[in-house]
Amino acid sequence: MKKFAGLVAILIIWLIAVQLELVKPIFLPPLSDVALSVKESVLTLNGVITIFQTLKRTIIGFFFGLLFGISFGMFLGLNKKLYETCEWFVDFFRSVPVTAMFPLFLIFFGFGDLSKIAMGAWASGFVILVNTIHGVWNVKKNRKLMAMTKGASRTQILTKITLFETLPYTFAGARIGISWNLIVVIVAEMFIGTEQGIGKQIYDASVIFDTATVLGMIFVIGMIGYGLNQMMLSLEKRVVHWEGNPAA
Amino acid sequence: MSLLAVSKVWKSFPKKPVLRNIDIEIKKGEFATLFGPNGCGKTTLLNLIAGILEPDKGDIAIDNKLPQEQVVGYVFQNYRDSLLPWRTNLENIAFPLELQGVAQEERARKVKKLVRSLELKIPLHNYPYQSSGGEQQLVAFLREIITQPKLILMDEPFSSLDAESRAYLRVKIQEISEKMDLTILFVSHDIDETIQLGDTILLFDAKKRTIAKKLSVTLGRPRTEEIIYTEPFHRMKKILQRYEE
Repeated sequence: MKKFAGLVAILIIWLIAVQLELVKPIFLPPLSDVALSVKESVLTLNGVITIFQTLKRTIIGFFFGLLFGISFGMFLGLNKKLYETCEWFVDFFRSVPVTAMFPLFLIFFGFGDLSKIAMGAWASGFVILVNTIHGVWNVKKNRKLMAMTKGASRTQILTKITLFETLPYTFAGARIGISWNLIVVIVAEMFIGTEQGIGKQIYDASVIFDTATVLGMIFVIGMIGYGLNQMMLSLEKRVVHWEGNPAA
Repeated sequence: MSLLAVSKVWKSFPKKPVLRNIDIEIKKGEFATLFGPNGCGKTTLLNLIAGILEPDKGDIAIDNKLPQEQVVGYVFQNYRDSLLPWRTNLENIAFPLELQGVAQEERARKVKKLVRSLELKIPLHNYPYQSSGGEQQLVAFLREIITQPKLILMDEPFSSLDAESRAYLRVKIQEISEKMDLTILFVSHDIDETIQLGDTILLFDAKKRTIAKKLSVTLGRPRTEEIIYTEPFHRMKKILQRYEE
């Protein structure tokens, strides 16, 4: 109950502020209006399709981000000299906000879903890449030595030890990556435009100063983000069950 | 005929001589303990014998073959860092068989047979982190002997365990060694452990960075914890303490 005390307090202050007309509705609309916009987004077919479109772009982009991050992360992590030569490339591009590269993505992937998916993949891919590289570097030396003394080949060490040892790092990157992916897809929907998507709905509502819808959609995004994070956490607990256990 | 023959081996790391003119001979079925203080180069010597490192000078042969041509068992001091926590205890013990391409069912059968024959109680379907420290180290040991390698190297394997587990494993390891006729080179910096386990003791001189002496231990087996209260044990201990000073 204590967990929600802060939230309840904010809602009460909100209700009082609206009731006493302390704030203009354009800044703080009635809670009932926000709740109505949330209801419309979740319970109407159009609302569900809107959420589905954004989620679809996020998940597909995340999948490609994972593919890029894990494969190149393993490759660069295992080839330290190669990493040293392209470290600047990794650091440079992961430091450039993907939103600043809108025009490039539009040129290469067009105005459709592909550009939004590619931008999401780019955003999540670099986080997963860097984490995977560090995972490969942190493989326990004794585990590799143990396998070597048993005549394990390089491929066996890679598939039976390194890949598993890297998983906790990859998962940490994936959790951050999926959140970045969602953010970038929504921003892309807002500024590149699309027929349906949460970003587009926020943009349309903001143009006509429909603050209730904007706040409602922000709430929906928060729930989606929270849900994705919980999903990743639950998957991580299942797959990387040994991590965080002091005896492991 | 020696199973392990280390002859005039030298090893140094940049600006730091680690081993000088090392000579060791261990017969098949012998339990040899290598005694020396911490940081004197004992682990480096084991790594050379395991084929992980190469000597600067000298020869090492395990059953007349180079270390790189032999599969040896190597039990590490830090068992947590050598076990694979994503695998159950059974899968950990079976790991060397998996590397050799043995089928899954056959691997499980061999592991269960080994555990049964040695009368051990190990939760095979638990993960290492669900097992006690002693059980984990036993799992690490069984993994090293499942393929019956010619030589088992043990690098202070019990030093991070509690006293009770240590006492249990010291006795258990003797039983297993006798039952399976294992050849073991066991590194320790604990005098009691060195005498309790070894058929022979190799004394490492930390200043000269070489093996100073080889002693035979004539105490009968099995040697339980009570052996440290006997007169012959004390006599042996005094020799090692003199050397330690």
